[in-house]
Parts: sequence; C-alpha cells; structure tokens
Amino acid sequence: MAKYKFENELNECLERLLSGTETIEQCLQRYPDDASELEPLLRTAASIHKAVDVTPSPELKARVLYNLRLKMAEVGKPRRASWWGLQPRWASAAVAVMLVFVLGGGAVLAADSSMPGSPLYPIKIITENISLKLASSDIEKAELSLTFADRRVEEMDYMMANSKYNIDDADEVASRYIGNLDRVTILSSDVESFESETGAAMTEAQRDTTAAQSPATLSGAAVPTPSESEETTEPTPPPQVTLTVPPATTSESTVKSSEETEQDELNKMIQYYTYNHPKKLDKWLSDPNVPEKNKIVIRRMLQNAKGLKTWK
Amino acid sequence: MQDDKGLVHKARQGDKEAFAALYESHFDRIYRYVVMKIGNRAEAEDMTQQVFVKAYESMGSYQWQGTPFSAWLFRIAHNQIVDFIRKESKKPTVWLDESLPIAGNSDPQGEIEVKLNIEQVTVAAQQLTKAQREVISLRFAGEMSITEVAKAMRKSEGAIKALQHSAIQALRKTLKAGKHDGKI
Repeated sequence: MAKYKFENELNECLERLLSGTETIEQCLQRYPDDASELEPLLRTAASIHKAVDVTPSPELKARVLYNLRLKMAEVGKPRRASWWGLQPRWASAAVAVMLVFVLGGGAVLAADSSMPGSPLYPIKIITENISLKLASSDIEKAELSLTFADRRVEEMDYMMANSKYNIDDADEVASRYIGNLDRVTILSSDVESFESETGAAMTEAQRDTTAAQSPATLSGAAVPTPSESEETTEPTPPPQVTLTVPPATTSESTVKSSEETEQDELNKMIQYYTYNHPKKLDKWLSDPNVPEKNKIVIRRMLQNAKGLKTWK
Repeated sequence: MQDDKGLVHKARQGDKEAFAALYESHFDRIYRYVVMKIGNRAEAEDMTQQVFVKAYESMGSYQWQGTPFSAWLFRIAHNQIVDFIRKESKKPTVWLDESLPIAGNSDPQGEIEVKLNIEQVTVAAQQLTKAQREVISLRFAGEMSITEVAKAMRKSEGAIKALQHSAIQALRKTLKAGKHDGKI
C-alpha cells in the first residue's frame, strides 16, 4: 500500500538525516514522487532534532558519575533477583511493584521475545494480561490487544518454520489470537465488563489456568494496579511499562481532540494489521509442507484477521 | 567504544568500571530523553542519576537476550518519569520565549527549518497521543533506531513507523499554529 511505502521512505530519510549522512535535499532527490509530501515533515524533524540536541556539560556528567560511584560503593555488588522477581518482605506495597518491575525487568524483557514452549513464555502471557488490566482506556486496551495479536502471528510464523511444534501449541496460539481480536471488537461495542459479559465470546485458551500465579503482587504501585479482589482467571503479574503521563492541562476541546486522534491511531493500527496479518498467514496456507491440521488453525486466524473492523 | 554486551557481563559481576563505561556511553541519550519528557533540566539531572543507580542495583537481574541494554535503561527512565509526574502536583511552568520565530500562517508551506528549543518541543509534544510522544522522545532524544524503539515499546516496527509519521505531522501542525499556550 502507498501509505506504508511513504512511511518507509520517511523513515529511511530520517535515519540518514538524524545520523548526518544526508541532507534533506539529498533525501528528496531519492524520492522525487513523494518529495512535496516528504519535505515539510523532514524540515519539522530537522528542527526537532536540533532542539533536543541538548548536550550535558562535562561538569554535569562528572558530577553525576561522582554521585553514582558513591552509590555503587554503598550498594556493593549488584544483587540477583529471583526468577519471579520476588521483592523483600519488608518492602511496602507501593515500592514492591516498582522493585519487581525493575529487578525483574531482565526476565520480563527476555520473555518478550520468547516463543511457545520456552520456559519464559508464560511470563510473556502473564505480562500481557496485566498490561490489559492496567490499561486506562478502552482504546489503550484495544491497541494492546492488537499488539498482542501481532505477537501471536509472529509466534505462529515461528512455529510453522520449526515443525517441532504440535497442533495443540498452534491451536493455543490461534485461540489467543482470536481472543485478542475479539477483545478489540467487543471494546468497540462499548461493553462495560469484558470478563463478565463476554464470557461466551472468550475461547478456552483465554481462561489460562496453566500460567503460574506470580507472587509479585500488584497491591499498590507507582503505576495503576488492578484491584486485588477482582476475580480473574489470569494471574496478576507485575505491571507493564506503559507511560501513563498525565494529560496536559489543556482545554476540554483539546482533550477531546486527543481522544479522537487516539481513535484514528487505533484504526490505523487495525488497518495495518488487517493488511499485514493475512499476508503472513497466507504463505503457510500455500506451503505444501505444512500439515493440513495446522492449516485449519491458520484459516481460523485468517478469518478473524479479515473480519476485524475499524472503530466508528 | 567497548561492546555493550561485554561491559554488561562484567558489570553484572560487580565490575564498577565496566558500569561506569556503560554510563559514559548512554548518559547523554538518557539525559536528553528525560529532559524532553519532563521539561526541567535540574530535575532531569537528578533523575538521570537515579536511572543509573537503579540500573546498577538491578544489573544482577538483567539478561542480555536480544533486547538492547539501552532499551532496558530507557524503560527504567520511563518508570522514573512516571513516578516523578505522579508525585508532582503540577508540572513545572516554563514560559516560552515568544520572540523565538515559529512558522505561522504567513508561511503556509512551513518549509523553513524553525529554530526551537527543547522546552517548546516538550510543550508541543503534549498535543500528541502517549504513543506518539514516546516514539518522538525515543527516536529524537534517545537516538534509538526503529528496531530499538519497537522493542522498548513492544510494538511492531511498522506500527512505530506509522506512529512516527503521524507524530511528526501532528507536531508540524502544532508548531505552525503555535498551539502551546506559552507554558508547560
């Protein structure tokens, strides 16, 4: 699609501009057809780049390093966190979650790229579930669901390329994928409680009772946490790193404009994924080496991908 | 410049010089990112220090598994900023220098490169969505590649490129129209 081509061109120009290897004029010469659209964006980007090029003074850097060295001497050797990022018992609830995230951050980050079958994969799913619970708006939940759906496609892609996976693994991933897309559809219908009112719409894989309950509780945190009394079939892991920057002190019309822009952004994401996911899944359907039972699973995902509608 | 991976491995074993080398390598980007997010350089100095202190304390749990060390640092910075904003009852107010030229309607094409300062960019960025703001901060202040930003934000590269495009478009409109009310 032309839109994605333009975004790629813009990004390539930005990479060269920001690294100083090319000027704006050189970039425009490379893409003459889109030059008129590229130029204002590149000039804006150049202005921003210059503005944020704040170089800290050597004195500042030395001062911070000095203080850091004092702290390092105090701390001694960095401590190792447990697998689940358990925090010390003495930590208050508010500090506990932050410590879990930072101390357990290595494991969480590592889990992000894990695949079904990896010991870290349950952490990946746990982290996704808690991200959804911490999302502050339906649009944010929908965006997260789309991102997670994208991960399911990557996982399916990986599994198809590694034929060691069995049909049950593929089925589980497909069910999660469908669940992610269902969530987007249901949220756009403004259903108040996804868990209570859409239980029939959820697939069995959504009720994941196999993921271990993380002792890293969310009872109070530096970032919003789910209620501890809320019943859920999914464990309550550490919060995701989502920047919940408070809105600017702007007028109501500006806030409303920001919500409309977020919806536009969400719809762009939906369009992007409904374009890209079928492309990725289709290639496996036409591969004669893929077993028919796996193709059945992929067809289910494809049907849902093509059926996803943008929000009104 | 030493390889980050090797330095991380040594720092995890308690090698303070290795961690100091990581500090030297990443300080500028983290500092710029924090300044851009909170618009206050004095606070940014303290916060940047805290980022590296927390990183050092947590080195034991960090594992190099495909996600760059810088992305981990930016996540710590991100959390620090969230905490800071929550603690503050209101953000620091910085009045813009209105003598600074910002392209207005007299230049409808907006083709000139406008002289801006970081505080103006911070204010203008408030008009963006959270995701757009994060992409701009990580790409321009953090000097992260699309791949690194995608990993840090847990989105696909295509989604990041789309956000980058819409963010720059939105910033251009904001800066042209001067929609920043004169204060942060």
